[in-house]
This record gives sequence, structure tokens and C-alpha cells, in this order.
Amino acid sequence: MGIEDTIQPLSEWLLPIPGQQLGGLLTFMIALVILIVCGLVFGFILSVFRNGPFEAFYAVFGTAVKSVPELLSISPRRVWAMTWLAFQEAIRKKALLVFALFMVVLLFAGWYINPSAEQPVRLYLTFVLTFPKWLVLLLVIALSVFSLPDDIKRRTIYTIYTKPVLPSELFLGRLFGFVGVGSIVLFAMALVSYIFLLQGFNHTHYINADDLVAGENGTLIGETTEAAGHKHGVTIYPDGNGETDRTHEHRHAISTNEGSTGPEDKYVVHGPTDMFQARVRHIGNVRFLDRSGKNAAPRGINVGKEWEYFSYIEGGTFGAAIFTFDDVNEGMLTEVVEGDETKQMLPVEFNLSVFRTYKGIITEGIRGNYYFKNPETGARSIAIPFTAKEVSDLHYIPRTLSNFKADSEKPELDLLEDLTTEDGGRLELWIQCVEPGQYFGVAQNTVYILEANRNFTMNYVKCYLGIWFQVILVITFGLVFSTFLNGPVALLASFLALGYGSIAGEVKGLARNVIFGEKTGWYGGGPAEAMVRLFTQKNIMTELGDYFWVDVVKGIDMVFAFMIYAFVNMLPDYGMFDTQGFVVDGYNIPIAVVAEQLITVLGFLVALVAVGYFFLKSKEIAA
Amino acid sequence: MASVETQPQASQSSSDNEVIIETRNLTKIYRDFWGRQKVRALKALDLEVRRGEIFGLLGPNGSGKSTTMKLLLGLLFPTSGQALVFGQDPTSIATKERIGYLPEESYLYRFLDARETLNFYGQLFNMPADVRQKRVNDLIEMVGLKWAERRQLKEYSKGMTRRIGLAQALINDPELIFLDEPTTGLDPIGIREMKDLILKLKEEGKTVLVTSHQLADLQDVADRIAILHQGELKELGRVDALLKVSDETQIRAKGVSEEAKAEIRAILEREHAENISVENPTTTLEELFLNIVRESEARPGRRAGSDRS
Repeated sequence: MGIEDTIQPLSEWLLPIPGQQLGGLLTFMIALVILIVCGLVFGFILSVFRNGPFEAFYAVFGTAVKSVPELLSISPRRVWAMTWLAFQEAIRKKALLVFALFMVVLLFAGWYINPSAEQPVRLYLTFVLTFPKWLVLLLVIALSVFSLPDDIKRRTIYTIYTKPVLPSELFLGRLFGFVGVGSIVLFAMALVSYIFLLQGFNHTHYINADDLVAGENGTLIGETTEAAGHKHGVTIYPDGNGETDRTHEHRHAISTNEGSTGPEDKYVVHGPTDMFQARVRHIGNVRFLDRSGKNAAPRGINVGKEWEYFSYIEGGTFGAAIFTFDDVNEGMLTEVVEGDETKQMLPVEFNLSVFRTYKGIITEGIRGNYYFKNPETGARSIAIPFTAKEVSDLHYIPRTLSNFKADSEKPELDLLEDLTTEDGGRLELWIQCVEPGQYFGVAQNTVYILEANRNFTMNYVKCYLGIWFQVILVITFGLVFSTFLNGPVALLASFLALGYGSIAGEVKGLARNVIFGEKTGWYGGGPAEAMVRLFTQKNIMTELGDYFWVDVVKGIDMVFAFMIYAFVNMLPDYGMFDTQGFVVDGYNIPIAVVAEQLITVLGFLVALVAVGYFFLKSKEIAA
Repeated sequence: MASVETQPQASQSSSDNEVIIETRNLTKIYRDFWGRQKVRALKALDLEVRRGEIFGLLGPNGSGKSTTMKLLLGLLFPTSGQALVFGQDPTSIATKERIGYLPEESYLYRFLDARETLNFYGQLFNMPADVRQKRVNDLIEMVGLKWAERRQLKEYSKGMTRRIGLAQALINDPELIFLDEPTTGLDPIGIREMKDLILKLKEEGKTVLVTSHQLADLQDVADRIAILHQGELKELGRVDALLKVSDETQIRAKGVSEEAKAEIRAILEREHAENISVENPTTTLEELFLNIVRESEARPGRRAGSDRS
């Protein structure tokens, strides 16, 4: 998850949207029904094998009926006992050595992670959010898949099974125990990583006051000394305080040293700030106009094999990208000091990409302009020129802008009063590229109103929370696999589930495309149509015709597509728990994402504990 | 082994004939992955064990006695027939609350110490902490492992492991105890103590199902035995009745002179008795060993058995 993903509000994510999505709740219910039906059928077949068809019916019925009171009569004390056992097992098998391994790697990491790199924050964050995750995931996979098969192999399970322990208690105990171990290790790694992160960037610059020259409005400008492979431009304000520019993803505050003894220590450059951000985006909807300024479309020009998320507007034409922001209000304005005045401004951040058809002056960026427009009244401000730099570029938009129309009564327009609609607070931002032959790459989430910059530590915690959810899921799946597979096979199954998790989004997308017809031009149809074509010897390009039975066949395929869609939801999409992209890019992880992750984990836990219970219940431990 | 406080079994005398274990046509067939029959481990076993008795399952290796016990413990599911313990399915929680099980080998968690082990199994019975602690202390005293209670089980000898295994089987003061080859791995003193303990459990009104291929062990403790062979029940009944040789007579007396012995032999010959044997009886090796140890402990330094020379 990262810059590309549009985050739905929790209620929208949970509920179905006709023609677009089934919604989390309905998906869960469908998956649950399929799981129950498959479980009953599988259980019946197994029981027929063991007891014959008549006995099998009663066995399956009896187990299903008994399971309800059994699942409800779980004893916390027994679960605690099993949890304690699993915890002891992991600790005494020296699971904590993983932390020692992590520390050793961290000690040497400083040699390989270069703080003087162009984007050091990105580098450090990627390391501290990736390495611990995979270490802990590998640890908990190993713990969860071998524990139960080992118990069966050593027959220690006999002494548990002959005690009044429910299969669900056995399962939950191990789950909680291993989650406990995983949590402790993960927490320790997160803490040490955080310290490593803060310490890794600490560096000191100096300013020689004699090297500063006079700038505008009584300021002094100059440069710091070089440290950690970079130096900053410096601006000292008339009051003696100042700041550096933002280089290498950070800046420094500057103050005057009262007890200075010379030009070298007249100014104190404080520690780096602004390195770690958690920006809150207010995202709008984008549409594109073609080079004639007409034909609004959800995507712009395709310039070839570039980042697919972006589409482009052509420079020197009427082509434009139009962002419509809803609910724009006074709370989004921020106060900015300009000289002696404090002004209210709207912070808008541009993250535009550039596609050049000729090189031009590569260091200067591509020129463009933007303006604001009221979508109802048509009132618009004059265009503001800017240069797309291909990095995050924060623009503070003054509340009062010049009117594009020559209106002597209203030469200026208020951003909120005149350019924003009364109903719904809608504001349009038009972006155009002015250099012919050059293109701006624009995408939905790349231009936004910057609502706030939240606490980075909290964002870091939320990211680790996502990793922790993955740890829980991996353990639960490992345990479920170990209830019916032996250790090595369960290990393989766990790795496959983890691997599937990383491509789950694509698989789900495929099924969704079939169901909602998002992608047309499929040939050959689904399994039912393919079967018909095989038997009728019609190749995939041949039309089947407009008959009733063709509709029936297509209907059957649609049922298959729904089943596949539900089935692919039975394994988790680990991508949804991976919020590293937000943290690395400096965006706040919306609380809706954490809530969706939590609900997903709880849904899987409920289903998987039930699956584990039935597998253990029907298992002949001594066979 | 020291004694341990147990709950007297409720209405013991009135329910002596209560059937605790019942199997009806109990059959177990092991199959391979494809469902093909590999071995018929148990064939239509009908058995009843009553409250308060020590019931022995006897048979050579592969006779089906361990399979029977596993079916009664719910570790295996019957292919056909039925096994009932306390009138219920062996897998039911209510049944498991009333039983104790000592496996053939003590399948315990080797990374735990004795106290942790018993505490853990006590928790599985939902025992409150204070009751559990008392019970753990009593059992550790009973099995004589107080001195090693904080050592991990992986450091225990086989005999010590059997003892802690026994303690875990008794943690819930069970009404019915399953002992699978309980004397395996024990020295003669341990075997005697185990047998004494089994008899003590019977005195307390508990029901014991014990399997063994040590014939002498079962002979000494079992009230009734079932002999299994190749999965079939071959013999079932009281031990004394089964061992009685009804067409032979044995006379035992002390201080009989050689003349009197000759006279007895003459009388028997006159009556045309067959296979006449008039001689001094021998003791069992177990009895001899235990006597020597007892004597040695009573009079240290003296060579045991010197009186006999």
C-alpha cells in the first residue's frame, strides 16, 4: 500500500457497491458459506470412507451440532495453560536468538546504509520496516508449522488429548503463545530500529558568519559546512534566527549563539528536522482534457512504458488535468508568516512526473501553471506559474487570488468564498504544462491539499501494527496447515500462502474483472464455455450464437467466477497489511486502513480457528 | 512412594457392579492412504470393566491391547462397534475429567521441570491455583522427586520420568486410571512400588485398566484379565480362576522330615497319582531380590543371605 492506493472510508469498504465491489462484509459471508459447505462435504466424504454413508451422515451431523456448545465453552484457564506451554516451548527452543541475529545485522548495517545518499530517509525506513518483518515472519512460520506435528511425532499430544482439553483450546493456546513470542520479538526490533533510525541521521553542520551575504528584506544568506555528504543553503532572518533549505529530506533550525567567541560559532545549527513526515492528504478526483481542451476522460495521454499509475497532459496545448476537491473548508488553511504579515494560505502539494520528448535544460524542470475555478459559477483565478521538479513540491496558495476576468468591482477572488461552491465545498484545480513537446505526468493521489503533518512515531507504530497483523495471520495459517499436514509440508504450504498473499491483489482483480465485466475482450469464456467449445470443436474466436443455452453456459461461468472470487478471499491479501509505502513516502496511514486490517484479521481468525477446530476434532491422533 | 491424599470414591459399595468401561463389537482396522485395509488390529471386542476392579489386558506385541486402550482414550476412532467410558463417548470432555492416563513411555514435555509439568496438567483440569499447588506438592512427595523438582525432564532417568508420568496421570485424582505398561523401565524396587500403588488405588475405590506383557506383574495385581492375541479376545475372567489347575493338588507345609516326605510319596504312589513331586519350593527371583534389599537396608554391612549358606 502506498501513494497509488485510494483509501475507502471504513463504511464504504465494508458494504457492497452495486456493479463495483462486493464489500468486505458480503465477501466474508460468501467465503464463510463456501467454507462451511466445503467442510461439510469434505467431512462427509471422509466419514463415508471410515464409517459408511449412513454412519457418516450422523457423524457429520453430530460433530456439527456438538461443535457449537464446545466452541462456546472454551475455558480461559486451559487456553492460558496451552498458551504458556507454547510460549515456553518457543523460548526454550531459543526463538529469541532471532533478536540476537537482528542486532548483529544492525551493528553492521551502518556500513552498508549510506546516510549521505540522496534520499537517506527512504533508505533507512525501507531497511527498518522490511528486515525485521521478514525475520519475524520466518521465525513464526517455523514455530507454528512444526509445533503440532512435533507433538504428534513425540506423542506428547497423548497426554494433552486425554485431558479435558477442547481442540479449539489447543489451537487457541498455541496461537496466543506464538503470537506472544512474535509480538515480543517484533516489539523489541521495532524499538531498536526506531533508535537506530533517529541516531543514524544525527549530524552537525556549522556556519561561518563571515561567509554570509545580505539577501532580501534584511536577511542573510549563505551555506553550511558539509556533513554526512551534503550541505544546506542558509537564510538568517533579521531577528537572528533562521533555517536551512530542505536537502537530503531534512532541514535544520538556526539560532544565534549568545556566548559566541567568533564567526565560526555565532550561529548554532540545530539537529535535523522534517525528516520523518506523516502528511495527511485531502485527495480530490482527477479528470483530463485532451489537447483541444475538450473530451474529459479519467485518464490522460499514454506516453508508453512508464509508471502506469500516471497519465500525461501535453505541454503547450489546452490539455489539462483537473482536480476537484470536496469539502474544502477554512480548517484546511494554515497561517504562514510572510515578512511582517501572517497570512492564511492553502497548502497544496504537487508530486508531478515529467516526460520529456527533448532533453532541454535538465536541471531546470518543466514549466507549467495552475489556477483555481469554481465548478458552479465558473469564476477562476489567474494562472500561477510553477516548475515541475519531479519531487514533492509544496505550494502555499494565498487565500486571496487575482480574478482572471477583468472585473473592476471584484478584482480579487476569495479562495473559499468565491472559488469554492457553497454546496459541498467543491474547488477545482486546473494544471497545464506550458512547454510544447513536454508532458506532465499526473495521477489521482499525486496532487492534494495537505491537511496536516501528523506525528511520525504514531505512523511508525501503525506500520508495525500492520506487520503484527501479518504475523498473527501467518501463525494462524501455519497452525491450520499443521493440523492436517506434517511439518515440512505445512512449511511449504505456509510459504505458498505467504507468496500468494503478495499477488492476491492481482488474482482478486482478475476475478473481479470477470464478474463486473471491467475488462472486456475475453476469449473462450470460463470453464463451462470452454467445455462446450471442446466438445463442439469450436475455437475460441468462433461465436457461439445467440441461444438460450449459451446464456445458461455463461451464467454457469459467472457462478464459477463468483466462487473463485470468494475462494481467493479465503487466503489473505498480505499487501493490504503492508503500509510501508505510506511511511517511506512520508504519508500518514489513515486510521481507516488500520481498522480495515483489524477487521480482516478478526474475520480470518474466526474462520481459521473454526477450521483448525474441525481438523483437530476429526483427527485420529494415534493413527 | 509416599501416600497422597485422595478423595474417597462416592457410594463405592453400592456401585461396585457399575460398568465403567464397556466395548461392544469394537473393531479397529488400520488403512493406508487409499483406504485399503492394512491390518485388522482389533476384532469385535466385547468387554466390561466394573467400578473398583483392576483389569489387566494381556497379550504379546501386536495383540491389540494398546489399540484397545487408545480407542478407550479417544486417541483412535473405532472402525465399527462402540467404546463407552462412564457410559459416554471416550472423546467427551466429561469423560476425560474423570480419567488418568500413564502412557507406555512418558510422553511429557522435556523442556519443563517436574513442578511446571504437574502445574500445567493441573491447569488443564481447570483446578484453582491453591488446590493445584497442594496437589502438585503432594504428588511430587508421593513419587519421591522433591529433590529433582526443578530439573528439566530431559535430565531425568527413565525411572524418574515414569514417576513424573504417573504423577501427571493422578493430578486430577481420577476415578479411572489407564496404565499402559506401567512397569516398563523400572528397577525391581520401582516395580514393586508400582504394584503396591496399583493395589492402593484399588483400595481407594479407583478402577484401573492396566496393560502389560510382564505376566507376573498382572498376576500380582489384576482382579480380572483379558488375553488378546492377533486382535481377538482369547480369554477373559478372574485371575485366580484362570490360574487354578483343577486336576492337580499342591501340599505346602513347614518342618516336614525326610521320613514323612517318603511316606507322603508312598501314599500318593499307592493311590496311582501321576507326576508326583515332593520337594522344597523355590521363591521367585523378584521375591529373592526384594528380600535381599530389605535385609541389606535393615542390617547394613552384613552380606545378605549369609544365613542361607
